[in-house]
Amino acid sequence: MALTVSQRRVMRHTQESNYVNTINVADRIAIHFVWFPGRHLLAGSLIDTLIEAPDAAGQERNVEYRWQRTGFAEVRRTMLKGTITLTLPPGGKGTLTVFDTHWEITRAANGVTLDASNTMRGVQQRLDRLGYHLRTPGQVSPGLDGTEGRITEAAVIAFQADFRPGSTGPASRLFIRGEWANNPEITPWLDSNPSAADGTATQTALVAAAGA
Amino acid sequence: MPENAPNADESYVVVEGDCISSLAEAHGLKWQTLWDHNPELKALRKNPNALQPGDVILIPSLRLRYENRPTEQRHKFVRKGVPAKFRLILERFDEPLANKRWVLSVDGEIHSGTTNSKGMLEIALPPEARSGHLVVPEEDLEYDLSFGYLDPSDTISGAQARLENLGFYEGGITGELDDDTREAILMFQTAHGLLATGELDNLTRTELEQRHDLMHSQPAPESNGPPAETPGEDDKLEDVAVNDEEDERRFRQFEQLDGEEEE
Repeated sequence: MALTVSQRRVMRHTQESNYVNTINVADRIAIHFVWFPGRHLLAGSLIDTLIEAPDAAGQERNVEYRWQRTGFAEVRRTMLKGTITLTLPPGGKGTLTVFDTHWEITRAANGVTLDASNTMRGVQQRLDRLGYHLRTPGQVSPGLDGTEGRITEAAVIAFQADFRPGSTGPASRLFIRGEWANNPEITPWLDSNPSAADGTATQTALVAAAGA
Repeated sequence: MPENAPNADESYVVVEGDCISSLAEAHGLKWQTLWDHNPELKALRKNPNALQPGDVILIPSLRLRYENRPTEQRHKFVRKGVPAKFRLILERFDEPLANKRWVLSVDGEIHSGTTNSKGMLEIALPPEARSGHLVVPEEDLEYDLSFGYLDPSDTISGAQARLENLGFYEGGITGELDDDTREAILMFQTAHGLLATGELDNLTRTELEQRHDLMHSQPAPESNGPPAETPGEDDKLEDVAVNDEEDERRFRQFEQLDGEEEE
């Protein structure tokens, strides 16, 4: 059985009707572009609207991107809040190109994208998504092994430093936050901030920042 | 066959869950009779299956009808019902979910079957049915369905419901053109090659109807009924006579069954 029961409004049809209802199951991935790290509160959200808001010259700053997956390619521009929304079936894979950077997007086959946030591997995954890469110079893939070592500790300290009160962080750093649209565990980007280098507060902030 | 003169129409204000079929059933009419009796509403809504709460519909009054039958005999009359239909196309990423087993319970009655090659299921439905529960086990899909709750496509709530069904929106049916709704409209427009405005313009509404409401293989709906005619006086009389014959529910016409009579 499905984890959740969706509510749907539909038509009854008259006897001679050619009308129909259509339900399309198409889980979508919403990707928000934000300036990171640091606090950039706009309209109560940490998601930066600079990308879609008019610039000083009055020009909209929607960003063009290219999304390509098997048998499908399109060029679009970011939408509200700089959002990119992609269709990708479970287990699917595609390439997103934005700002001349290629991002390989892979969707987990079972819909689970992250380990639990109270596990070390879950924390490492979130730190990695937020741009605190857990890898040594030259290392291709991040060290998401669930073991707390020197590199993970350094990433946690950097995260805590960026999010301490009053911190603005290097505003020029850009990161991608993936959000599985139909994942009920996803929490919105919270207007909250850890106040100290406390493990619990850091974990909460990671959940808020990177998704559950 | 004497008849009494028709009384004045009764006005009815549509509420959520109503459609022409359910209102016709509730008032003892055929849906075509009711639909044709409201030409302004017909022109406004076009789709008799999707009315907007607050719409005012005129209900023609019923007329008595007399049937001559021999005395000293027992007669059996059967009221004919006109069921509605429920059609649903199931897709995943725009590909039909063909040949999938489904189970749909409506008011305690269980229907089941297999979707056809277009991913479509179809059942006869009591016009007054309000809710159902659909399960497609193989696809791990489960839906609570609210029959008759789909508003017209040119309303925000109607657009939200269609966008939700098509997988573009999940912000709840609020009737408000908020950011979530605009974004869903933008996504839909972009996905279908429309000018991305975030507004529910005519092209977008039409495309929503095409994508959600209409059978893709059939060019036009026929549920608006036959073109309205403007009969002359004689035609009106004839019309009534024709309706007397065809509209058994409107005039409470009963059918005497052969072989059912008893001395």
